[in-house]
Amino acid sequence: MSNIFPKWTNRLPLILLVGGLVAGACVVAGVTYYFTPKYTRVGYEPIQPVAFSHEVHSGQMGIDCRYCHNDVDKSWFSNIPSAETCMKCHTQVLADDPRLAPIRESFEKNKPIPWVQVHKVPDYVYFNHAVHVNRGVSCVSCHGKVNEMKVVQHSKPLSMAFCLDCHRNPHEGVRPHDEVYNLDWEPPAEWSFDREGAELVNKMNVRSSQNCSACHR
Amino acid sequence: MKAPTQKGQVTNASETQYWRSIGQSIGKEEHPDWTDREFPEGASELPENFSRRDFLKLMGASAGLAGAGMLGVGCRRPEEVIVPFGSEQEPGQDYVHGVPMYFATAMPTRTGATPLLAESNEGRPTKVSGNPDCPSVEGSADGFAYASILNLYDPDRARQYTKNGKVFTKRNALDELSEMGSKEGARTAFLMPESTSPSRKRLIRDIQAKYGDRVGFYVHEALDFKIHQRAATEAFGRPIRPSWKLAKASVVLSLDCDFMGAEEGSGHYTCDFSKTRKLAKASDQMSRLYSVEALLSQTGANADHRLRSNASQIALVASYLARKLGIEVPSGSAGVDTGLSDNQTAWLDACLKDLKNHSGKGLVLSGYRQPEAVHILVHRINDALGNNGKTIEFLPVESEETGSLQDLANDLGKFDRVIDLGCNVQYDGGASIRGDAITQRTEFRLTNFKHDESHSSEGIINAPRAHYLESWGDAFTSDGTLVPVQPLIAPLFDAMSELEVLAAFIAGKEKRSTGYEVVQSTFDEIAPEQSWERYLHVGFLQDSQTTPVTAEDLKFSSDVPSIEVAPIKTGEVELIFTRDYSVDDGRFANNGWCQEVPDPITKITWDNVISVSRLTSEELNLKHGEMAELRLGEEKVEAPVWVQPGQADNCLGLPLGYGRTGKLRIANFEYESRPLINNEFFGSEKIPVGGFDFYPLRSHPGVSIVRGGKIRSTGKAYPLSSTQEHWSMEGRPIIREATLAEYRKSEAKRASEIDKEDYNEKHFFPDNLGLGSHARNEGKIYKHPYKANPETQSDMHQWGMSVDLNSCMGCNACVIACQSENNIPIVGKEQVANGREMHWLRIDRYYTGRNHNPQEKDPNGLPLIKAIKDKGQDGDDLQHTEEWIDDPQVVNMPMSCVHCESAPCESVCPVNATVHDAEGMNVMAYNRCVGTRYCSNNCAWKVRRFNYFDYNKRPLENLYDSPMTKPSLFFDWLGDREKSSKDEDEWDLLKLAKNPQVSVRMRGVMEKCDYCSARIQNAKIAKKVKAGASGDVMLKDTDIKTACQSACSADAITFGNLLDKDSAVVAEKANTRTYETLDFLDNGARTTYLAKVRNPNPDMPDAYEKPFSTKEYKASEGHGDEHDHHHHEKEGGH
Repeated sequence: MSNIFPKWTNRLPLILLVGGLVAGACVVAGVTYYFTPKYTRVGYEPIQPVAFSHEVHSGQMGIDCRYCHNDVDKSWFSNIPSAETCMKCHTQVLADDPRLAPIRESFEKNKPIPWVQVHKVPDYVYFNHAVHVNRGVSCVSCHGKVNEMKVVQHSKPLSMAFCLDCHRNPHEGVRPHDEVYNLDWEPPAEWSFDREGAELVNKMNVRSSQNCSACHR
Repeated sequence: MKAPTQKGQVTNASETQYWRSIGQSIGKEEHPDWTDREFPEGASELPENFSRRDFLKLMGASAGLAGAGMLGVGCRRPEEVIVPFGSEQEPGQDYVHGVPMYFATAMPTRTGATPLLAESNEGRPTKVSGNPDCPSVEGSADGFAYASILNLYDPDRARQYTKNGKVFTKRNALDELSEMGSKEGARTAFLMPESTSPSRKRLIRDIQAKYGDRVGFYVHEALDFKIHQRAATEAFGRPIRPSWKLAKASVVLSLDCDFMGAEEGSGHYTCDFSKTRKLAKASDQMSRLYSVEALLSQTGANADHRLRSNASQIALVASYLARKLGIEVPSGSAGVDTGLSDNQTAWLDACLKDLKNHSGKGLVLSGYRQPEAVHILVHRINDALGNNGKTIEFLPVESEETGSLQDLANDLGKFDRVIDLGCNVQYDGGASIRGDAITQRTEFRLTNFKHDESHSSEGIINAPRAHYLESWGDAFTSDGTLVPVQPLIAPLFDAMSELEVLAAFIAGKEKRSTGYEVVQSTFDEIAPEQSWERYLHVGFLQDSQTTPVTAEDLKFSSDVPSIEVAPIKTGEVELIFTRDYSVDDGRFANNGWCQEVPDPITKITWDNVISVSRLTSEELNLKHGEMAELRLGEEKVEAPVWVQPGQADNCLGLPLGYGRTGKLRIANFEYESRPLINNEFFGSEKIPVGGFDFYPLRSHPGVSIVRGGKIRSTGKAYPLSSTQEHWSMEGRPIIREATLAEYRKSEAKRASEIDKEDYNEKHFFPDNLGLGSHARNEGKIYKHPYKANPETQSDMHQWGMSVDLNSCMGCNACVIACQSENNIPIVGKEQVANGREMHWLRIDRYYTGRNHNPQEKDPNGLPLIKAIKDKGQDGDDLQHTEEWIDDPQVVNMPMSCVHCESAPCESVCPVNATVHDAEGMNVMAYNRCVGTRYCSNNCAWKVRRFNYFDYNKRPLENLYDSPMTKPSLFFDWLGDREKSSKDEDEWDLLKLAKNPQVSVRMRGVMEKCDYCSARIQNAKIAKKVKAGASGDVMLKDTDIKTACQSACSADAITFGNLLDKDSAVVAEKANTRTYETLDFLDNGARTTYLAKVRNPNPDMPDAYEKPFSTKEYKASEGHGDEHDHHHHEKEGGH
């Protein structure tokens, strides 16, 4: 009778407890990491086929975002410029620079450059650039300070929670219409979200929808 | 899985007042339980012989898949690249990636053209709709036009240039053509489909001028719509064609003329006719439509008075009317008046009186199936009634010197070769031509389908024929307006148009003109002063419509034709060949949208049937749904029989265009039997799909009515997939209707009582027919979306829709436009039989009978249908004895999600996948849906659609094969999860037709009408983009139209913002005819309907005071006359 349970079973409750805790912690950690909207690509910084620096072009030289991304205010899609756009300047500037060889090749042979996509929302999300940039939401809100990036980095989570934060509080997200493409704009000292922000929302009749249908169709 | 029967609600089939098929009227048909079930049998549960072992196998596989999935999915998203254009010039200056572009073009038809606006996304045409700017048709288009875009992406399209089985290039083919033209002494005959293209005419003229007798031109069409022009030309002795002005007619008599359906250009006729049926208020005038016909057509279904008559006897009707008007019709040897019964003559007398009273405002029409003599008589009748030049105009046309197919067969000896510009004589040439020497003499042809490339005779050159959206062309619309046919995409398989063929034939190798050059130089010839760019931009040549011949110039030149029709002998049948509502003459047979759209009358999908009347089926011993063998001379065809209410006796309706052979993935495929799946539909046999070919029975093309023929039942059952058994709404006044007189009376009474204290809206039409008075008075069952949180409701937009049942003719254009707009898949015949079709919008068609009492009792006092059921009979044999189906009234109702405010579907969704948005719409978040289907269970309108399979990725005939059941598919899936098990060439093409603005749904997701949510969002975005820093973001009517609304030629559908006082939908909903379906549920449906109004003539022998449905409703509800009912309600219900 005494040998029904071997000796090690005395430790079974402890093993179960510890094992259970470890397994539970793993599940919690896994869910927290993978299943929550925070699981995103913040920090993603792929190597691009051409070492284009936004810091130089946009930051130092102050080229407007729309010089290259000229469809951003017309379409849901913010276009990547063709090599022709680059060559508008680079036939004069750094015309023989070896770093620009792929651009020149692309321009001559009409062969597109495969830029690596950094920012991406899932296929079932119908995000629209035009409606944001035309209604007081700056590029910087989702893309971060691209004008300070040597290599473009995924700086915001772009999760559904991230979208909803702003859609629930549009007065904290909008800025004057003519400052949308000014990535360095900071609200003036006297600016208050509840006063100036709300006034702007009111004036523009901003209706940032929080309905499913706004983005999912 | 049976739904519990609720007390106090009408659920027993015996109390049905509308019925959707004969089977239902009698209680049971192929699927007896459907009316009681949430879903049709087999639609929602595992098959019965699905064993525990199978289940474990499946579960094991699922677990394995889940594991593999985790491994395969990986932890990071895959690296993707964005590829810009190499050069800015490449896509064109105006191209903005992600913004659809619109181009004006036109779909050429046999006798005209449908001006269209085509939408192009990323360079691929994805949707067409009527060009609203073109005055000649006012934006109207028929269902065929909306479906035509899928023909561009037909996977079975011809793809290669071949000669003697060897592949070569377009350039080679053009060179060969040039050689054929320049070769001395060689004689060439061209065989062409009908067309109105002035460029083609010009090229033919040039070729004739250059080569003289060495060339001949022959035109072939299986259906003869040119008869209207030929008859008018014959009658008046000058080349003219009639143009009906239905909008100006207040009394219309159609003699076998299905101008709302089978006639070409029906979209525009429907548009015109519906204008005379709009009732903004009770005092408005409304037209009256009489119809004399054999088969129940859409026109007959919408007529105020309908007389059944054999198709061959329409000639007698015409000559009777003509004689009554004092026109001397020479009688043939059989005598003129034989064959018309007293009832018929009484009917015609009263109708003629009405026409005479509306001299100059009446219109008599004859259909394309009728012989030339009838058309000429009808011109004389219209002349005697003073209608010519008023409701019917005659437009001069250029005379043509082309022969027919028969002429070509006769002249064949004169020619060395035939160039075929896209006719399919072997299929639709008729018994005497098919297999004839013409095809053997053919040396060059434009081929429609891939399978044509292989079985070709020696020496023939096959060239893929271009679709109208990928080639240049031009055409004249029905009123003579010149429209361009502008391509939106480079020819997909380098296909060739007929203009290119002709241009190559006339020119040498060096100076061949392209299609573009041909069309442009034609334009320069016709309108040298006008701007070519503007012409292409707007899509028509301004003010180019033909000026009608003045009444003074209209003189009859021919004698009154003699009419000779032998009476139909007992046992003799009449064969009526007709254009099919779904696939035309077969040109849309390989188009999935067309095959799956239910026939507007029979509601059958994927097949055609021999339709027959109740009496004739009894006489000839034919069984509903069983195969019969039809013999005519040497030829015989086997096809299923369908007892069709409202059809004339002694005739068989034979829709053409089905029964294709060769490898066509839609028009001709087979379902394998599947032992694992317990499917009643299949039994153990292979089931072919695609209907039956009646062409062999015709001796010549253009023949529509043939007397004679023998038919006998073979006793073999045939599975037909009809949608009319689905989601039946029993015993409730779903469609409310009144006669015009009744409606006016009710409105007058309303006006006199509206100020009284006890005024009750519900006492007046259409609510007096409703169950509103039977409401539970318990308030709303389901949560109101905004009551608890009013701040969540938008104060700017609240969407709503109104559907005018008086305008809807049931044409299906909206159904196909919806399918095209919203990426709705087709599911195939088998799944339609399971009740799984995906159409977001369906058109319900109900029959009602004059003396039909749904409460009818058998001799034992039991409800008739219950008695039949109790005896264990399924009613199929007895349904033919129901006499009242012979002359039914028909009503149509477009039905899609009505967007309830207190939506039953929302409260049962466990994952909040279907929710209300701020603007009153019930929306689906597909990516949240887990497929419980509770929402569909709880929907009273049965408008939700579930993706039982991945219809987009799996081939129709193998929907049941999945990675879980087939290892090869599993490994494919591991390798590439985007991979489809469809053939690769099909998959590549089908993807191009999708609308990028709408998600393509996968397996396991519920979907339904979302009021074109994507269009609304895009309209709002466009408005906001335009508004910029200003606050002007409210949408107006002009900013947003749903796909169905813009497709509706009859303007039956109005959609808009209920908060906008100026919107059309607000005005429509203020109409007193407005009612809500299932209003007793008190769900606050956002889609409401305007009750139908019929306009009977009290002098007619078949006059009726109330629509049959009212009588049935009263009988079913156990009410007496209306007065009693009214009284009843005042007492406070029962």
